[in-house]
Amino acid sequence: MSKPLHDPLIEVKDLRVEFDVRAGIVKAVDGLTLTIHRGKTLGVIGESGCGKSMTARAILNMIPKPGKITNGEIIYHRRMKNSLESQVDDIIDLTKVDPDGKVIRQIRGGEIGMIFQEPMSSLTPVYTAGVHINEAVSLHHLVPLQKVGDQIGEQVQAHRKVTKEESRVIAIDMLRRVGIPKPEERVDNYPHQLSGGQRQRVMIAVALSCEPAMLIADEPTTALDVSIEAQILDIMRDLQQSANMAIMFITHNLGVIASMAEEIVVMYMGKAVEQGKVLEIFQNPKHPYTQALLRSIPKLGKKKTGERLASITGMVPDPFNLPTGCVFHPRCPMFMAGKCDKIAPQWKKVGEDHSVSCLLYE
Amino acid sequence: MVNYIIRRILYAVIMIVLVSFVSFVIIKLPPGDFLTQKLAQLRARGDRSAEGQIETYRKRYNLDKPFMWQYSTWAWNFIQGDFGESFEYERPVSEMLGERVTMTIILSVATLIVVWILAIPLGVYSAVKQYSMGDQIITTISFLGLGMPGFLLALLVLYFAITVLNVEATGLFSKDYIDAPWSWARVGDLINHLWIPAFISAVTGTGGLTRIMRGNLLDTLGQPFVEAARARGLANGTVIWKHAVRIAINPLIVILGSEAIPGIITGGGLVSIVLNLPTITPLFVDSLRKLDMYMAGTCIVFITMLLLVGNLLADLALAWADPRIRLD
Repeated sequence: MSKPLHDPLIEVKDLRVEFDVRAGIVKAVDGLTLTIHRGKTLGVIGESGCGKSMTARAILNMIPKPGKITNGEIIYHRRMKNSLESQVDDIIDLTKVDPDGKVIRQIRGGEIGMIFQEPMSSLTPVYTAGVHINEAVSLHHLVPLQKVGDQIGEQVQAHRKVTKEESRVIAIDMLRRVGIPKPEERVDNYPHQLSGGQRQRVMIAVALSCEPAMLIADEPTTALDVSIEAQILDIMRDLQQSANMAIMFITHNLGVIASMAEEIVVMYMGKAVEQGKVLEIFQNPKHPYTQALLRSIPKLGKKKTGERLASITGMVPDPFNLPTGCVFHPRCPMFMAGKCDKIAPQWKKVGEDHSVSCLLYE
Repeated sequence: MVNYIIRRILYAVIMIVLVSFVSFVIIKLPPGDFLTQKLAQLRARGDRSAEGQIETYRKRYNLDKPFMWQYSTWAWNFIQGDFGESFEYERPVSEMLGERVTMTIILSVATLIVVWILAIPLGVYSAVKQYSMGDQIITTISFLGLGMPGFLLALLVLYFAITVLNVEATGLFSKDYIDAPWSWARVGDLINHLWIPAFISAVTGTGGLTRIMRGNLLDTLGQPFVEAARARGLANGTVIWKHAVRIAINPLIVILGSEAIPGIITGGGLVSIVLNLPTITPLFVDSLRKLDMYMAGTCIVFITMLLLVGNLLADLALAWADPRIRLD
């Protein structure tokens, strides 16, 4: 079965998220444009505070106060679960829907699942793993109900909600699929009875229990140790293949992104600075920021011991007082005086599926 | 669980024994006792007939015996339900206290219910709509309630009730019902009188609890599991009540045991005196002043018991509410 090459699921266009705090306005996301395709993984990388997580929250229309989406649109190409492939049932601008309305609540959890950074505190301490999965399942998981007496022969499908018993079966099955041993017992465990890795698996089970079209993973393995990280990534990859799910993978771990994503977006101070195919960017980084990021990965074997790791000079600029021109220019090793501090760079195509926003290439 | 409760009850018994002993010591500390005072008064008046009766008392309660002997006699009788006799009123303590203990419990529970029914929704509203007009109003009133002493409010209410409403605001019963046996009419009369002390305690007790609820909930609303619940597609109300409030309320249960119940029993005392309520405290204060030792000792034991039971209930409630707490 051949899939259409261009099958967008989420298109973020010129998104701007601002926080109006006492000291001024912080632009958490500043004119970001990106596309997430059905069944593909998009990696979003950048330093802490560069707007990765806010982009994810904007997609679910969950920007915490006092933040606001002040510009742009997030187009969601909605396809109902019983619809045919290549069919799009609805096109919704997620920035325009009521943040506590019915539409966005169906999408959250049901069509776009999210895994958070802190597995230790993302489960409510007084509810068991089963209750968490059950909440999502009873909201979004519909059982097809075939109507009899249909003369024309077309299957008219209605849906009903799952029962408590069915929901429990689903919960146990999900826990088994994310690799939790003895799921029949674990389903009744409280979060404090589970280890960090198990809690994150429960979070993944919750997010995937309704077979969402997209999974937003916001640094899902940052708090876990490396062996657990590898297992969690494997689970996500497996489930993505079996359910043709898109993943927006947010991380600052370049090694993880290389193994997970097909495409990546590099963000700096709320802006995308470079995007393209993952191999292309790793082998041929164009933007000085991407180059610096890649240089700062420690390499085994090649260097003599005791050598200092390469780091990006300077500090992340004051968010209230962003630099003029290219926001990266005060830290940029390739800084061109009179140009980078004056002119804001535009997007430039530097290869097939590879664009950069840097004055060096204009 | 059962083991835990049994152990807690054992501790409570030890506690009551210790408290009763210490209070007995303290009551005996001032020179002289009620009978010596009484005797002196009678002698000063030249009355000699009562001396015989006082001698009977002295014998009956072993007041001429050493201290330990006196205490153990009282304690032994106490276990058997004889709390001793009030010298002041010349009636058995049990007779005088019986109804007052019931009234104290009714009043405390009524106050607790009113306070919690008001404080939790107000605190939740205040936190969810932080810095809104409603929050500002609730905050202002909370601080007024926190700052206003209960007895002062009681005096104001009394004044208002008598001058404006022209109703009697003291006591828990109308004159006709004070000594009447229990009936539905008497219960109705009680409820009619109960709202005034309940209102006063509500104003003074709700403020603090509202502030605590607000603070706890604001902390909880910033927790990742609240955001995660919202990302599951739950409605705002479900996220707030089922996830955030459910967690934020646990510390309040601790406060219920450690502060609210003792606060209502003791803090309600001044209000009880001002409003002339038939609770333990006015009688207790009076008996201490008059060295009416059996009355005072019994009051202390009952107040201690109410506190210990309240604490135990709060601990059990917390263990029931929060699976992270293990009782053993």
